[in-house]
Amino acid sequence: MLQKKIEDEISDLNQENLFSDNCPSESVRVCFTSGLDCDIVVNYNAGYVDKDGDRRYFHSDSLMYAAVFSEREIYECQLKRVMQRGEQLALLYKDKAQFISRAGCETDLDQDLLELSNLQKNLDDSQDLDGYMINLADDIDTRNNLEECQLW
Amino acid sequence: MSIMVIKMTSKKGQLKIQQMAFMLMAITLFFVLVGMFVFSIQFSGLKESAAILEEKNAMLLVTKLANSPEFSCGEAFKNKKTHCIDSDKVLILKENINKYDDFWDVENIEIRKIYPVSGEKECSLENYPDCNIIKIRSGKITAEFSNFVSLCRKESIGGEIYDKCELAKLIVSYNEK
Repeated sequence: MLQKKIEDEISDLNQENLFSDNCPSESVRVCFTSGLDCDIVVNYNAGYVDKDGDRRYFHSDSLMYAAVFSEREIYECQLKRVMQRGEQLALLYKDKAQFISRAGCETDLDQDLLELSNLQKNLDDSQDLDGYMINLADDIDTRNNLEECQLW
Repeated sequence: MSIMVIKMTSKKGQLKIQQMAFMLMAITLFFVLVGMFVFSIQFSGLKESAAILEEKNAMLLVTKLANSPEFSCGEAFKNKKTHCIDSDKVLILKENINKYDDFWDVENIEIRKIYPVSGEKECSLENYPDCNIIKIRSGKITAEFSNFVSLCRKESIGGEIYDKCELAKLIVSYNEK
């Protein structure tokens, strides 16, 4: 399933330099299972990519591809930027939740949004992308979808 | 006699050299003028292309802003809308805009309600929603681009909450370099 999904995504990109089979001999090989002759190894279930002797963690396919294609410094820096923006958005929605209560819209997401923003603020590198933050974000999203006044 | 002939010949020669020099200068000047003419035509075309490209980028930026999570309604209002701006969120954003310095490469972001028509009043936390201009960033303007958007917020009547949407313009201005 994963193999098919990745193959479909790669072929949909329609890039001349990306191959899912019949790779040219001088290719950089990206493996999704352990194997010989792999330049980059992706452990999809555990959520990390081993490349150039170091490990960078990801959550979701977007970050996975970023981890595969980027240099380590660029990946970690851009991840921090994403987290900074996420922190500001979490605070924005927390303040919005308090603001729209004047219109009778009550939500109980503000404390969790504050906690999420703190976790995003304190992220130093991809190793801090742990299950707790991801689960918290998913939980907030699920609860928001059930609110009468959705925040987003 | 022969000396006179030599003198006359050398004077003729000098005259011819001078004529040749003037002709060469004239030809050089001619080609320089032609070159300047061609260069000015090409350069004016280049300036026009740069201006068109900048305008296109600015229009894309307006669209990008309207659809960014800081502005967009997302699914907060029934019937997911594109070019919809959440005015409750934007008002909060206005209070915290300093955290977005240099994030969007624009000088000025303004949302102006255009219908229903009313007198100009800038929005603040105190007078919202009885206002029609939300100034998010204010800076020096030399070029301005805009797009029509739905401006939506949560309202309540008799304890019942509903979505109120009005027609507005998202105006983005920047300083032409």
